[in-house]
Amino acid sequence: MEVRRMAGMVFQHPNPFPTMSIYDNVLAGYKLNGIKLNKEKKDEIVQNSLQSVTLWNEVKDSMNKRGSFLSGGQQQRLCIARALALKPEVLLMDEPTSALDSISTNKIEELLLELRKHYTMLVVTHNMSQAARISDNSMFMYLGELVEHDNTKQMFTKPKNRRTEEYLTGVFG
Amino acid sequence: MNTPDENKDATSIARIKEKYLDKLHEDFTFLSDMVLNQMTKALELMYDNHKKNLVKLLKDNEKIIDSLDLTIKEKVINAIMLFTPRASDLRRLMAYYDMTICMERIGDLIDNIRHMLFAMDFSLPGFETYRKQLDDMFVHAGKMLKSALSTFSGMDEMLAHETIMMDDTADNMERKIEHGRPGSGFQWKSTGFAGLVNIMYVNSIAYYLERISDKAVDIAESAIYLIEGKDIRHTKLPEQ
Repeated sequence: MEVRRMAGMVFQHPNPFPTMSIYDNVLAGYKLNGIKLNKEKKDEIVQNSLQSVTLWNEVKDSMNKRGSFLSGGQQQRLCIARALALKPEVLLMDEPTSALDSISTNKIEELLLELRKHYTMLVVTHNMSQAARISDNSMFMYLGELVEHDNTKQMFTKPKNRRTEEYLTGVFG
Repeated sequence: MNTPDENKDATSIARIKEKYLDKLHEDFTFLSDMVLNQMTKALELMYDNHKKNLVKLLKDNEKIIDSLDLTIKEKVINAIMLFTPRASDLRRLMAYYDMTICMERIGDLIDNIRHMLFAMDFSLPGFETYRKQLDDMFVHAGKMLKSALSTFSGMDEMLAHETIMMDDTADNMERKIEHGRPGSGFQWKSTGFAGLVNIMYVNSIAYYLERISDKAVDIAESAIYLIEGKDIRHTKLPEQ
């Protein structure tokens, strides 16, 4: 459980708690873990978390609206803010942009590039270009087996393993 | 994991891409043959520098080289747009792009040589020796170019390293022409102004041939990038 708390998780489809306000969504981790905070601390966490996902300016006047009121891209950023609120050591993201349009995807990718300065992130993606754009290191997994891992530039230009080469050049998918 | 149908789609896209890259390779091979042929024809011109049909052929071929340069570069850009290449595909396309730039430049250098040769008078006293030296340089540069291109088609990195090492000889040959005095009695005083102009042409041709050798080195380096994924430009070669 302790280890689990060190990891923030973001999933394929944005999943803000539908009945909670934007404000409460950010603090959901604390609430679910029974951690009590004073109003001032709560406000600080909400503002910092939303600022770090560049959502603050877009929602600061609608804190009491439900999370589902936001667009898909905004909802996903809210989910990332929710994960960040608990100050995790690692962020695990499972296809965080696969359900988003290209503009929202760009925003999330920009956000990931910013967040990687402060967090270790593990992102699962089938989008090869995205993996090449946003990551420092890449792992190629196939049917549950780790085929190759290396620094991203190396792996995308000169992979060592034949299966990685074949996957990257589209011989199989 | 993909379904078998999705894998079939991936394979068919891979086939389209392969066809596209094969066509690109054909264009590049054609460009290579044209440039090598230009080298041979320019060498012929040195021994008969007013042969009109040879001059015309060189001019016409230069136009074809320029147009192939545009075609290949456009195809490379299209391939990047259409197939988002990675790994060996990406290296291959970058190699085509870089090498095409080199080949076009070699075409220009040969064209400059054609201009110089056309204006030269090898019958002036002492210039026979220069002709022999330029002939040697032509043969050496041609050998380097052929070897660099074989590196690419044969995926042979040892040959690429050998090509790079041949560059010192080309540099020395140029220096010898530029600074040295030919052994067999060149008497510039008796040849007068025409002789001085000729000397300038000789120096320029030697310079252009040395540049062609440099371009062959660039091609060999691109081939090494394709084969090994290493960019060895501006690095020292390992000891032999």
